[in-house]
Amino acid sequence: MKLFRQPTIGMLLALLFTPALLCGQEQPAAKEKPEAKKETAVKEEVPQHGSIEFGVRHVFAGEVYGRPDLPFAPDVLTSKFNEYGDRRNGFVVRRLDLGYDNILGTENYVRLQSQNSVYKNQTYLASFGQYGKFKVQFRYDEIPHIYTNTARSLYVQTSPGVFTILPATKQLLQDRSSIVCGGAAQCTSGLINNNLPGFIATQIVPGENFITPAIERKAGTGLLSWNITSHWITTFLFSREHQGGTRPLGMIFNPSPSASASSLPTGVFNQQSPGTGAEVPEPINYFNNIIKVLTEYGKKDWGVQAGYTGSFFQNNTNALVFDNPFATADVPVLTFAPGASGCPAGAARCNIGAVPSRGQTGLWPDNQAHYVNAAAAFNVGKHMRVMGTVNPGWLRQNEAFLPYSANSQIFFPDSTGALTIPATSVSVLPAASLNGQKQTLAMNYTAVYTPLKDVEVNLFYRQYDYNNNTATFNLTPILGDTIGANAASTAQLTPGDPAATSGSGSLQSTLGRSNPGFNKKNLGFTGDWFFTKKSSVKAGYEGEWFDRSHRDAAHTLENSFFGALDLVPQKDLLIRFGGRHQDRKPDEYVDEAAGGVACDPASLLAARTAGIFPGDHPCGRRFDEDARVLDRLDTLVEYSMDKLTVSGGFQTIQQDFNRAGVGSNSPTALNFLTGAAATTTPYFLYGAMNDLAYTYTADASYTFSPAVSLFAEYAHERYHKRMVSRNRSPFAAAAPFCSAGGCDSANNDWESAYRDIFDTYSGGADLFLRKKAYLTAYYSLAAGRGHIFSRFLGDPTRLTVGDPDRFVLVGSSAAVSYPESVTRTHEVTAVFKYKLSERFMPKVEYRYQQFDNRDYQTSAMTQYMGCISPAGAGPGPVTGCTARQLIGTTSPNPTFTPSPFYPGFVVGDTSAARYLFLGVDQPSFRVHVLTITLEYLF
Amino acid sequence: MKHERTRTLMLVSLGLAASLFVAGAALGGGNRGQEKNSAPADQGKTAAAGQTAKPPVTAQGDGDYVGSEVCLTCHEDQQRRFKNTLMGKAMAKPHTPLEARGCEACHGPGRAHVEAGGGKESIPIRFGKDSKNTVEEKNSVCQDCHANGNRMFWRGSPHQSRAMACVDCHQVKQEIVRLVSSDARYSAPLSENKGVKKPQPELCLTCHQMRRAQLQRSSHMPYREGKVTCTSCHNPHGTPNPKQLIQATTNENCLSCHTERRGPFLWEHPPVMENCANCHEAHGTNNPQLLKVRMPRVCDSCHVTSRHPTTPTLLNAVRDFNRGCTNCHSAIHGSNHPSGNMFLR
Repeated sequence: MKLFRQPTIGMLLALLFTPALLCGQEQPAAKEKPEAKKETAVKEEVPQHGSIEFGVRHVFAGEVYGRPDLPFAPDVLTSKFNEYGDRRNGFVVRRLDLGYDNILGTENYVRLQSQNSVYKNQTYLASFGQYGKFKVQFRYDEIPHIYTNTARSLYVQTSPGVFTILPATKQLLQDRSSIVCGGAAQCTSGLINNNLPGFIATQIVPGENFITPAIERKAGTGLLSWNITSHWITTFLFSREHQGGTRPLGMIFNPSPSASASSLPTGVFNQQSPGTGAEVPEPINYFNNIIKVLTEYGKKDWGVQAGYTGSFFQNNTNALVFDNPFATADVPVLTFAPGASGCPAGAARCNIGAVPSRGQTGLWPDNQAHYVNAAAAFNVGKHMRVMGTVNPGWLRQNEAFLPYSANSQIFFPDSTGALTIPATSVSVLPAASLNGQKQTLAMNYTAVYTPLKDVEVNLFYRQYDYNNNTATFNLTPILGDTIGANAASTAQLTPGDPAATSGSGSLQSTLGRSNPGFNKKNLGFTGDWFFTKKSSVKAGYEGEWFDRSHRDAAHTLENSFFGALDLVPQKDLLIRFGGRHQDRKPDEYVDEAAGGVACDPASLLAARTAGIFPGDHPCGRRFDEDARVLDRLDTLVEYSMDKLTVSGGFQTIQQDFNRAGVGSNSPTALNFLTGAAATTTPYFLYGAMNDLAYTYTADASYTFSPAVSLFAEYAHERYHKRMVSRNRSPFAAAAPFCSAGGCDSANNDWESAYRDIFDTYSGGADLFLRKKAYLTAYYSLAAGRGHIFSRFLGDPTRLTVGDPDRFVLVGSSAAVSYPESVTRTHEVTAVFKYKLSERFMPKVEYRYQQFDNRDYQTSAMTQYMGCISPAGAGPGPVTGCTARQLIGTTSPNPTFTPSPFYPGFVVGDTSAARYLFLGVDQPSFRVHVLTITLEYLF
Repeated sequence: MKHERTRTLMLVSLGLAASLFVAGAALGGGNRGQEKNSAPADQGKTAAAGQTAKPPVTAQGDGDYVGSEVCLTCHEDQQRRFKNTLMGKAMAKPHTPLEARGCEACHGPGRAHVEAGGGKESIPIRFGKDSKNTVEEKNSVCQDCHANGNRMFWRGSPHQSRAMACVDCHQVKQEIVRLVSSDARYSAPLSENKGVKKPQPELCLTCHQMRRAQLQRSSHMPYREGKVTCTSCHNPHGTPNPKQLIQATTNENCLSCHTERRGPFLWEHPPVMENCANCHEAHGTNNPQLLKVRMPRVCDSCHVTSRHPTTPTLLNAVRDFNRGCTNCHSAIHGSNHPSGNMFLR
C-alpha cells in the first residue's frame, strides 16, 4: 500500500493541476464586471475551481480493552474503530473537489471529487459533460468491513476454498479424542470431555494462527447520460464490483453439535463420535456486474420510461472444503454386537455413524437477474395525474450441485440394491444442477385527482408476484453420519430408507423440494385536504391481500386505516400527527407439520393421549403470516425561529399477535396454570405475542450570532418483544414419544421477553470568530442496553417420572434470563480551522472515540468453548478447564460460578467439546486521532 | 401462483403499460399548445442546439419580463453565489427558452417589482419562509424543469401529500454549507447534487429523528462512514413502491447489493425470500448482523417445533453463544447443497 500510495498521490496532483494549466486563461471575472465593487472584485480574483484538503493523521494512545482473558492484545487498527474505515497514521488526501468549465474553449466541463484517497475506504467521482447535453461519469468506491480482531484458527487455505490443518495436529486431536474404555465398560461423555478439552485449551489453541476476517468491496461504475433531444434522455450504466476476503462461517460435520456427547460409541473408536464442528474463514471472491439502460421521454405533463437492468453475480469460489480437526480419514459405519466392544449385553445392537475426514459445503451459487422496467405518468386534464409501472423480473441460477457428502465411506445402492456407489459421486443426484427459475412481476398504478384546489384524492393499486418455477424433484440428503445410527442395523442403512429416521436430528428419508412463492396485492386510497398554505389533513385506507404457496397461511387480508394532520398555525411552528391501525387475519392457518391437530386445549390433550407428536406444535404461529393488530402513532413538533429551532417527536408501533380464536388461534387460553396461579396473561398461540416500540426525540439548536451556534439532540427508545414457547423434546425415538412424561405439556411452556433500551445524546458548538477562525466541539454518546428475560410458566413441583405433565425445564433446559448486553459509543471531536488567506486554511482535528461493548454472546468467545469442568457428580474436574460450579439451586433455575472476565455467567458448553471456533469478538476500544490538514482553494 | 397465471398477468400488464404509453403520448400531444407556455423537460435543449435560446412568448407578454441584467443592478450578491452552483452554471448558457429567462424563470416576471422600486411583495414567486406563495405554486416552478426522472412519481407521494415544498430540502442560490460539526459527525457518499440544505443523512434526520438514533447503533451499515445513505434505498421524491423504496420490494432493495443471497436456491427459507425485514432492521440495531432480536430468540419465535428450538437452554450453550443458531445453520438464507435441507451447508 505504501509503495502504491506515492505514485498515486503524484498522479492525483498531476490530475489536479493539468486542467488548471489548460484552463488558466478562461474568463477573468474582473473583465465581466468592471463596474463591480472593489470588494467583489477581490473575491472574484480567487479562481473557484475547487479545493483539496491534505495533511497528516496520527492515531495515538489507542487500546483495545475488556478482554483480560485473552493472552494477546488485539490491534486497535483492526478493531471496531476501523470496522468500515481505514484510519491509519500517514499522509492523507482527505477530500478533493475540483471542477473546470468551458475546458479548452468548449462548453464542456470536467469534475473530480475524492475522499480518503489511496486508503481502503477511498472514493472517487469523475464527470465530463456538457450541461443539458451529455454526461460521462465514473465512480470508484471501496468499502472495507472488518469483522473481528480476536480470531485465530488452525486452518490454512492451501488453494482457493480449501482449508487444511496440519496432519500432525489432526492426528494429535484424533488420538486425544479417542479413549479406550477398559473391558466392556461403557464409555461416557464425561470421559471424553475429561480427556480432550484441557488438551485443546492448553496445547492447541496457543499455536493457532492469528487471522483478521475482513472483506473489501471495490466497485467501479461508468455512466453515460445523453440528452438525445430536449425531451428524450437515455442513460447507460455499467458497474462491476469485486468483494474479496474472508468472514466467519460456522459448520458442523453432522446434524447436531451435541452428538459429541450423545452418540458415543461403546468401545475404543471414540474418534468416530460424530459431534464435530468448526468455524472456518469463508472465502469471499465475488464479482457482481450490473448493466442498466434507461430511456425516458417526457414533458412537464407526461413522461414515459423504459429500461432494463441486468445483474450478474459470479462467485469464484463455489465450494468450501475444510478438514475435520478430529478425524484423519473417512470412517465407515461400524456396528457392534451386544456384549462386544463395550456394547451392553442387553442392547439390541450398537453402532456408530460414519465420520468424514473433511467437510464440504456449497458457497453462494452464481446467479443472474434481469428486470425490465416500464413506467408512465401523465396528466388527464387539469385535475388528474395517472402513473403506472410494470416491472417483470427473471432470476436464474444453475450452478452444478456438489455431491451429497464428502465422506467416501457412505454409499448409495446400485441397480442391484447393493450399497456400492459412494455418496461423493454426483451420479446419484436427481439432477446435475437446479436450473432455478424465478419470475417476479411488480405493478403499480396510481391516480391522483384534485377535484378542488385544496383537495387531493389518491387511488393506488400495487401488485407483486413472486413465482418460483423451478422444477421439483426428490433428494436424499445425507446429514453427516446418522446414516448408520439405528440400533437394529448391522451395517449402513440404505439412504432414503424411512427406517433410518431415528437418532438425534437425523433425517434420512427422501425429501421433495418445494417452491414457496407469494402474490401480494394492495389497493388503497387517501384523501388530502390542504386547508391552509402549509397545513393538511389526510385520511386513507389500504387493503392487502397476501397469497402464499407452501406456507402455513395460504391467504391473509390486512385492512389498514390511517390518517395524518400537518399543522402550521404560524410560520415558525410545525405540528405533525400521524396514526395507523392495521388488522391482519389469515383465512386459516394450516401447518402441515402439525399433523392436522386443531389448536385448542382439548384437541391437544386428545392428540397427546393418542401418542401423536407432530413435528410442529399445532398452536405454533409464525409472526409474519399470523393474525395481528398493528397500531402506530407519530408526532413531531418543530418550532423554528431565526435563531432558535426546537423540535420533539414521539413514535410508537405496537403489534399484538395474541388474539383469541383469530386465524386458527386457540379460542381458549393455553396456559397450564390459570387464575391466580397463572404467572402471565392468557396466551392463545405459541410464538411471538407482541412487539412494542417507543421512541422519544428532542432536538434543539440556537444561533447566538452569526459567529456562535449550539446544538443538542436526545433520543430515548424502548423496544419490547415477548414470545411464548413450549419445550417439546421427545424422550423416545418412536411412540410413545413421551414415555417419561412432560415432553409435550403446557406445564413446560416458557416465556421470553426481549427488551432493548437506547439513549442517544449529542451536543456541540460551532464558532466562527472574526471571519478567520472556525472552532467546533462536539460530543455524542449512544448507549444501548439489551435484555433477554426468560422464565417458566408451569408448575415446577410436578417432577414425578411418568406424569404426563411432568416439569422438565430443569438443569441445562431451564428457562433463565441472560445477562445484560451493553454498548456505549462515545465520541468527542474538536476541529479548529484558520483562514490564512483566501486560498489557504489550515485545520487541526482531534477526535476521541470510545466503544464499550459487553455482549454475552461474543465477549466470552475464545477459540475453544468446550472447556468446562463438570462439577458435582461425574468424572470430576477437567485439567486446564474452568470449574463449572453450581452456586444456586439446580431446579428450576440453576446458577453457576461467574466467569472471571465476564461477570454473570459461565462460558462454554461440553456439547461443544469437539468444536473449534475462531473466537470472534469486537472488544471495547478507545482511541485518540489527531489530524492536521491544509485546505487549499484553487 | 402458477406459471400460466404469471404469463397472463404479464401479458395484461404489458398491455396496460402499452396503453399507458400510448395514452401518455396522445395526451402529451394534446397539451402541446399549453407546453409553449411551460418549460421543456429536465435539462432539455431546443432545436437550435448550442445557440442561446430566446425567451418564449408568454401569457404575461414579453413586456412583463425585464431580463436578468436588470435584476443584477440590485441583486448582484445573489447572482455571485448562484452562478457557482450547478444550476447557475447550467443556466449560464441557456438551452431552453425558460432557462433564458434567468432570474425570472423561477421568480416570475419582474416588471411589477421594478416599477415598485423593489420590495418582496412585488415578486411573483418567492421561495423563502415568509413567502405568500402556496407550496404547490412553488413546486410547480421547480417542476417546470424537474418534472420527470426520479421526480415522476412526486404527485401523490408521502412528502407531496404532507405539503412539503422542494425548497424545504433544496436550495438553489448557494451550494451546500457544511458546518464543521456536521462534517465531523457524518460522512456522505460523493455526489454532484450539492443543492440541498444539509448533507445526507442529516437532511432527512431533521424530520425522521428516530432514525438518527438508529444510525448510531453498534450494528449498522456504513451510513456514518459515508458509504450508504438514505437515498441509497429510498427516493424522497416518491416512488410507487412501499416506503418510497427505489426497488419494488424490501428484498429487491437489499438484494441489489447482497446479490449472492438472491437465489433461486435448492432449499429456500420462505420468510427470507419474502422479506429481509422479518429478521433484520436495516437502519441499525445493537444485535449482531442487524438482527431485530438476537439469536436464538429470533428463530425461537417461529420454530415451535420439536427438540432444540423449543428448549430454553442456558446462556452458555453452543446454541446461544457466538452466532447462536447459525453456528450450525449457517446457510439460513438458502442452501444449494443437496444435503442442505436443514440449512447446515
